Amino acid sequence: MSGTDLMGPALKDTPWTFDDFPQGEPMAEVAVELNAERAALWAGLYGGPQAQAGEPAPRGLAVAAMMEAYIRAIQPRPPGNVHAGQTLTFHGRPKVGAVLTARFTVVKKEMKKERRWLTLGVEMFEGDDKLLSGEILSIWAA
Amino acid sequence: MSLPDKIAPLELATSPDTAQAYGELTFDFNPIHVDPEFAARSVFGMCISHGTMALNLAIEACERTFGEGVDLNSLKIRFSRPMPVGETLTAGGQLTDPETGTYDIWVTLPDGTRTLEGTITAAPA
Repeated sequence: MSGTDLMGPALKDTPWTFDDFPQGEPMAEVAVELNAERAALWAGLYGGPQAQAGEPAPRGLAVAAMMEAYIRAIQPRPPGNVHAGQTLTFHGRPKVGAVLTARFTVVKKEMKKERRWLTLGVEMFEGDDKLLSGEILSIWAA
Repeated sequence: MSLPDKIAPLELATSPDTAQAYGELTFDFNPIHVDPEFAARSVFGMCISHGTMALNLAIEACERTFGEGVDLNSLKIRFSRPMPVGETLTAGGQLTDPETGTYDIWVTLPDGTRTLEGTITAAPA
């Protein structure tokens, strides 16, 4: 499973720490293809007919692609990060075979009860068309 | 088209195989999900399922309930409890505000514990 890196993921030699994130700034861009292999994995997990190339993909498949982009966009990571919450707005529905580009921005960093709360904004595009946007709320481990 | 009153329940029986498959789907091979030895030493004491595996179960439940007549527009959820790998997850939801198309949604463990909860909005397509 792989996508194509564009302007690129945010890569470092050492794990990303909370202090490293540039608040308010774009920080990474990663492309992921909703290919047939991915559609097959989805159908294997959630059942139902496998969407074929050119057919509308389940919205969740775009969410799974967003998670792959999120994982690949910020590397390496400290062990123990927690995905605490998620907001999403669906602007459109991609088709199997589409290449989606995910762009990540640091929306907010906040220390609460000695926990490092990190909010990353994400937008996913197919070409110029925005398909999905939202925020990933995490408790960053280090 | 009117909005359905309930999101039809949808189940997913998790296992080490589903954790591995979801890891392949999302490039997320965090050992807390797929490495029993690592997970045994963690605060959870066992492998736990990916949070978005449950989120996507909820999204899939919504899409199957809505079919082509209703669009899922937005969602806001929190992951409220860890989900041990091996448990069966059940997603469901209830329309709470027909005017705004707002539903409460959830994913539960077999004992009823909610592991994910939040809201979605939907509208006729």
